[in-house]
Amino acid sequence: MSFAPESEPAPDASDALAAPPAVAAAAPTPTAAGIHGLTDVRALAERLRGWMRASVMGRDDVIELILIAVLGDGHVLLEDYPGSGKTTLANALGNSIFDDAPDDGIPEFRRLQFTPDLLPSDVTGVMVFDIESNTFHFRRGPVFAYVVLVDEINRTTPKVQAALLEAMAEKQVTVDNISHKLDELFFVIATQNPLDAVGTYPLPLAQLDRFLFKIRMKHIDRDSELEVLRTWGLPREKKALPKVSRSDVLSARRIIRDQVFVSQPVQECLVDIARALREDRRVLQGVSTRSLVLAIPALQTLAMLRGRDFVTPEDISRLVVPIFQHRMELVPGVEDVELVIRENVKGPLDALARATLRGA
Amino acid sequence: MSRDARHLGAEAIPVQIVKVIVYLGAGWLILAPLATPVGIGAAGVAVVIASVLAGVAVRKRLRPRAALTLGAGAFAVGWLASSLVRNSATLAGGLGVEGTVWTSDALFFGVALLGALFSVRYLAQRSRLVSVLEAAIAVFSVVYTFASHRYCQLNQPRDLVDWLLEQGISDPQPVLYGIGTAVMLLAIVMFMRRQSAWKTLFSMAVAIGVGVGVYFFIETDNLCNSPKPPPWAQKIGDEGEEKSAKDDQDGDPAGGQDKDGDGKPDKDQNGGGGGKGDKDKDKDDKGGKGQGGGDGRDGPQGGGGSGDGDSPYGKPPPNSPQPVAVVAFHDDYDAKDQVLYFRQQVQSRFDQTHLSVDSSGKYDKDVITTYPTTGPVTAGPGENPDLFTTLPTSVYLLADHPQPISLGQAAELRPLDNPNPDLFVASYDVTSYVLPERLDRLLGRKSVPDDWDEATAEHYTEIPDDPRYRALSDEILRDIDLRFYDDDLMKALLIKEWLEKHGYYTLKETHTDATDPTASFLFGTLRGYCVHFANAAVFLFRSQGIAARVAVGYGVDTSKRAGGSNLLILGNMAHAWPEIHLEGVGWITFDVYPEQSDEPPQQIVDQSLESMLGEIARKDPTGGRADDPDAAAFPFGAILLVLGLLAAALGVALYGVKVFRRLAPLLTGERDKHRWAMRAILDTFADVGVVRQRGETREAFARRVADVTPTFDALTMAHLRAALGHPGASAAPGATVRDLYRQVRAEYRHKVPLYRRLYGALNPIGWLMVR
Repeated sequence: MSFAPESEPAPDASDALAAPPAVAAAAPTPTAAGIHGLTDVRALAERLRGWMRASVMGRDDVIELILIAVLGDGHVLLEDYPGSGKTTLANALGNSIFDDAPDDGIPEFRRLQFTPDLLPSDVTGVMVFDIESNTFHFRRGPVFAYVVLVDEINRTTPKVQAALLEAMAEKQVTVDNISHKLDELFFVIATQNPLDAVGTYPLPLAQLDRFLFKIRMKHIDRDSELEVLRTWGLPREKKALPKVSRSDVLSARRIIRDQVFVSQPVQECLVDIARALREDRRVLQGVSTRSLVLAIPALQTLAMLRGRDFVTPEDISRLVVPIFQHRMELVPGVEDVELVIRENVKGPLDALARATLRGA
Repeated sequence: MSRDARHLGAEAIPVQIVKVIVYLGAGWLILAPLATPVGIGAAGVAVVIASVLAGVAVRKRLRPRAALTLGAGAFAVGWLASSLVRNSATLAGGLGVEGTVWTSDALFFGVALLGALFSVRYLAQRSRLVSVLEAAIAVFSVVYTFASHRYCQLNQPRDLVDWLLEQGISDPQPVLYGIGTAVMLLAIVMFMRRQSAWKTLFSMAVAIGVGVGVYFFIETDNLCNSPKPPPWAQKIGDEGEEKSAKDDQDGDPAGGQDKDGDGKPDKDQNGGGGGKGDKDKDKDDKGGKGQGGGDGRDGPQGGGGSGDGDSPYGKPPPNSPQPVAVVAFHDDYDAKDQVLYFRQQVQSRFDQTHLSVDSSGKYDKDVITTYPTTGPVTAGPGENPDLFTTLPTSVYLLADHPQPISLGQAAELRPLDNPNPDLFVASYDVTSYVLPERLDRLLGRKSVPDDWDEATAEHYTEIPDDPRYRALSDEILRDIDLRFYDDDLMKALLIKEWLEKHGYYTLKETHTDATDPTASFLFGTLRGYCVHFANAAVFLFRSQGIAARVAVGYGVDTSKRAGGSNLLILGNMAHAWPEIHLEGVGWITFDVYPEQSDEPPQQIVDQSLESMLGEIARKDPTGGRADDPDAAAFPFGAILLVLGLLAAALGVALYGVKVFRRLAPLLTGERDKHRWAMRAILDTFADVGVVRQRGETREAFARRVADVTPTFDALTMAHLRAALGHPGASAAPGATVRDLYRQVRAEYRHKVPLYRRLYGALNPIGWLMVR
């Protein structure tokens, strides 16, 4: 067991702060020494968490899910009211990653505001004619970034949505029949307003399915809101946090995938939950197999965050709602998707709990 | 998840099964005496279906309002349909009598009961309060059933007592106490829902409260429990008591009687009997509750012993239907006026204002006042035995009496072996003279014979120094048929007729405040009970020179008896009546039956109790149940034995598994130790009612109990790592698991109070609840 569980590090990651000698953001990577084990991965995750927590108050649950999505190679859809800190959150994530391969010309963070008159080329990029060389060459769109914030994803036309979703699923864009690879660490945070739906183009289930999580943010609590008011406009200390490099994030993803164990009973439990959801009378369209595939890295990441090198039922219980809730269509009249999921989770979770006691 | 944990969900299947069994038992206890077999069967099916449906409804999260509407709807439909079947002539005609009853029962118990039970079972799983109500239902059924055993209704509850008698246990009381206590405890343990000592305490209090409440609410006193002195000791003290009776022989007349208002044979035997005759047993029991109170010594069996000398009439007669004696007839006999008189003593001596027992030994020699201890006791010579027929009977006393009671004129009492000393206080054979002639065949005789000396004649005709008696009797006899103007019997008949016409029988007026209660009754309201009528009649007879006296004992109305050679005498049949003397005949019973009465007719004697006691008296210890095919049909003993064996086997198995699971962590090898340690801890928590909720993960459960056992989280994690972690690295060292296990146990012992741990140790089914 190479990975000792440890207690939750301080939110501001002060230990990590004290350790490295070089602090400057532009400095050559202090963590380039590499990510070799789950302990390193966890330290990295805590640093990312520290960045986001420094920017956004009272959103620890959301931050954790975003962290899981980043390290679990998924994308998230935030559903929240305007002015609730979505952009700030995405910004903080983008700022916490620095580009250790400046040659590729891909920036850390881009923001896209979706409007009805947007064209696919505004997202993916466009071929432009270079007079000097008398040739067309590809000019990258905003999706060429590590972290892409897509605001109001449901306000643009399906054509543009489709272009983005191809990018999300394939990590490439195709312009003029030429495919252009996106960066390996391509991470989308999309937002949409749950109300105010006039003139929007709601995402169909097939497209929602490409997001790992749909996160419904709730209003932050009173103390956090007061804290926001108190610290508003004050200089942020986040520059003092060490950033994490792109390659570190990528190796962290690999390490999680390789080293966190997903046992057979846990996989069975996951499949049983999906099957139960499909058979529920209240569910019109059940969850996809893709969602199960996406769920595995997410579960592994959560286990890692909890200091474990194996996935437990608790991880499933924690993630099952954000993973599945946007992938199902319910019978008209049934509203509470969370209730439906929770009820269907009980049986497989019980079976799993019994299985662990019984042994193989 | 913790929110789910707070939600009171569907009960575990074993709990539901146990509750179904409890409901079936309760239903059987309550319905067995009331419903047809079809109804009972339908109720049983309804219990099972309702429980299953309620379980499903809770699991499917049916809303309470919908569930209650469904339950109430089913109840209403079943009830209405049942009464429709019973009341509709067309349907009843089509179905026939049996079909109608069965259909109606099936509808009521199958559908209406289903609805009601469904509601209760559903609510019980949603609310602790209703769950307590379930316990109350169970306790109620048992107490309700056993309550019928009171008032010495030895034959109730029938199936159980019959079986006990077959086993030779003639006193079922301790058995009933045992069963009752066991059921009460079972209900408490069964229905107490976990987690809080206060709620447990609350359930316990409610269960006990319901039991006690039902017991006292239905009826108040249990006379069967009054201590019985040895029968012969009572008799020895008799002479002394008779002396004191001079002052206060009131106890006996007071013990007078009760319900002879309907003893009037030609008036009530059909009219009054039919309507009330259908009262069921329970009603009868309830009727027994009354102003009579609990003092059994007021009855004749109290003899002269009661001491309130001021009041010649004492308190109103006892009203309880406690059995006091069983009489076995050895010959056919039909009482000519439908009432059998069992005399205990007579009062002939005039004592200032009233009559009392003569203790001089000179008079009333025809009355036997002592028990036959060693040999027969014979009465003084009868005057004309040829007029009488002899009737042999045996008397078995269930309550103490200072003098023996016997039918009619007892000629001889012979000792008899007590067939069941636990039950009977005394027993003896009696040879009685009974008068087969109608009274009017005896006309033409004088009352006071010429051969009586002055003192004797004086003794039997002395009355208060009050001219009104003579004036009233003269007034009554003014229109006497001239042919009989000097016939004593005709005079007596006319006086009796007058009293019957003008008297009003009631227990509400006792005349105890008057110095001469008889005068107060006779010249006042003419409202009173048997003692008043008897004394007034005697004084009126005597004022005309007719020798008369008051007899005290029991009057048993035979008009409503179903027959049989055994006769059960109840305490509330106590009675006082006049006797007159006729020359050449002797003393004859001459009772007065008031035509007007505000008392309910005498209760029906419980046939089965009567025959049971009779059979016991005839030395059949089973009370005749052994050879009664109907009663033996229910194999109570065999079922009880099988159930007992099953329960014992089940208990052994449950505790065996429990102990094994507790010891397993110490015995198993390294590889599986984590599982057994986990099981042992989960068992421990389940024993005190803390279990993982449905859908709750092991980690969440460990966190939930972290207050008690903080280390359990680590043990859980070690277990999960071994079960779900890398197969290669999963060798969690057994020593670690053992240490964790020990630490968790230590924490548990430290944190959980002793009583709760003890309860947990006793709980045999805790491990079944582990999920």
